[in-house]
Amino acid sequence: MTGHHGFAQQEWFEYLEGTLPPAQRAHLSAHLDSCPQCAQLLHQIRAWEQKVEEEARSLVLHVERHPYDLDRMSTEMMCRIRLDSPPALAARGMVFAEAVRLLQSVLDPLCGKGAAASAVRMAAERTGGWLDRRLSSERWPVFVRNLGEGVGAVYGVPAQLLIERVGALVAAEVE
Amino acid sequence: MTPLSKVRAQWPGFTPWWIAIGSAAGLLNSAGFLASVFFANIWSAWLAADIAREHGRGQAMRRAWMLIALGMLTNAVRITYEFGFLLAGHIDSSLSPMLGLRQIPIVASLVAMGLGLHAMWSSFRSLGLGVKLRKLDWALMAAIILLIPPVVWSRRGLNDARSPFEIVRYLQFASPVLLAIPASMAVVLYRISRELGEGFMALALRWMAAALGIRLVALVLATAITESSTAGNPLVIFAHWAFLAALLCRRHLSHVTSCLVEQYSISGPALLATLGWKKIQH
Repeated sequence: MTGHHGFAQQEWFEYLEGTLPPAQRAHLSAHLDSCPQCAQLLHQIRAWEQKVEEEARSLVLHVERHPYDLDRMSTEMMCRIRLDSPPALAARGMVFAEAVRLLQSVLDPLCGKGAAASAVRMAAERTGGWLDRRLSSERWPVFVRNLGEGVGAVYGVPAQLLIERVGALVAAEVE
Repeated sequence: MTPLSKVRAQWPGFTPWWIAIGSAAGLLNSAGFLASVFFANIWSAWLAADIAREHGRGQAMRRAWMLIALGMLTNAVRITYEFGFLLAGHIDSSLSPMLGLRQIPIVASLVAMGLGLHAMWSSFRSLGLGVKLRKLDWALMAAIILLIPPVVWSRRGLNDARSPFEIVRYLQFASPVLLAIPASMAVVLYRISRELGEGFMALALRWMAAALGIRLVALVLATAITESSTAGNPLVIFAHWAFLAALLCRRHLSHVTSCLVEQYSISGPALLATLGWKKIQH
């Protein structure tokens, strides 16, 4: 799927994650130097990612303090995330990398950013390769299962169930 | 959420208090010391076994927590054994050689702990964590190993080293070496905790690393200050309670995660209606 100025939207996320292959990364970097529009988009995506992380952190804190109120809190959090998403991204559905990012954000405060990132990378590799870009919506359930198994092996069944639950929430929108 | 789980949710918040109370109780006298360490070990064993049950059969992490639980339980058995001698007025093994047999559970506990921590490391390696150690880590591990020969040499004057039981004499020299293994693993656990970044697991690993490191320091201190056999006691108590703190943090991670799962299960459809996500595209 073409996103912005010929770059697939997943490339933007991979660029920020640092997982984009060196050649594509250099190509995108060169483009960013000469295109203020894309530089602005990148800035917006980065800010949005930080927003997602902040929301996930506050959600976990909220669970500890007021577990009964989580329903409302989660709903509001999701609405804020959607409202704050960059205009260039808001007009279409969620790309694979975005869904991964959301899942990772839920895991970050519980497992630690390093563990969450590492688990996502390994699950993506097991699912079909992160770098060769073969991941698609059809592979989402497999990815979620692999991620759940990987994280569950270290963090236990509750963590695995959480991934499966959030993964299913996102996957329910896949056509 | 039941009232019990509400209390459980607060455990990590009370951790410094638990450590302070446990340490204070342990410093009263020999009985207080044994009681404090016994309580910390029993609680730790129960928590570790509880955490182990969260992992599937055959998983390295399940094996790790079960071995840690076994190590803690064996240590509690050793303390009970020592307590019996304390009640009889035999506080050192020169008065009762049978007390020297405590070396068997001490060594068994250290072996279980070492194997458990190794299994834990293997599990983290499956996530790509703790794979590469830094030069500083290797230097610290080398320093720990270098500490051991003088400690072993100094222990030849201790009562257990002159035990009439041959096995006690051997095991007595083996314990510093076996304690060095978990202490070295503490360096690895600390490195993994840095790689994790933040979260309850990272916190648990840091407490664990502190506990294992302090236990070694206590051993070195107790060996160096031969005039007082209780010189390392405050550190020993702190180490056992710090290990308990690690397990409380890890248990809290499960509690929060379970809470999240429950809430997502209840409110899934409502969440979907408001998410506004259309689909995942490539």
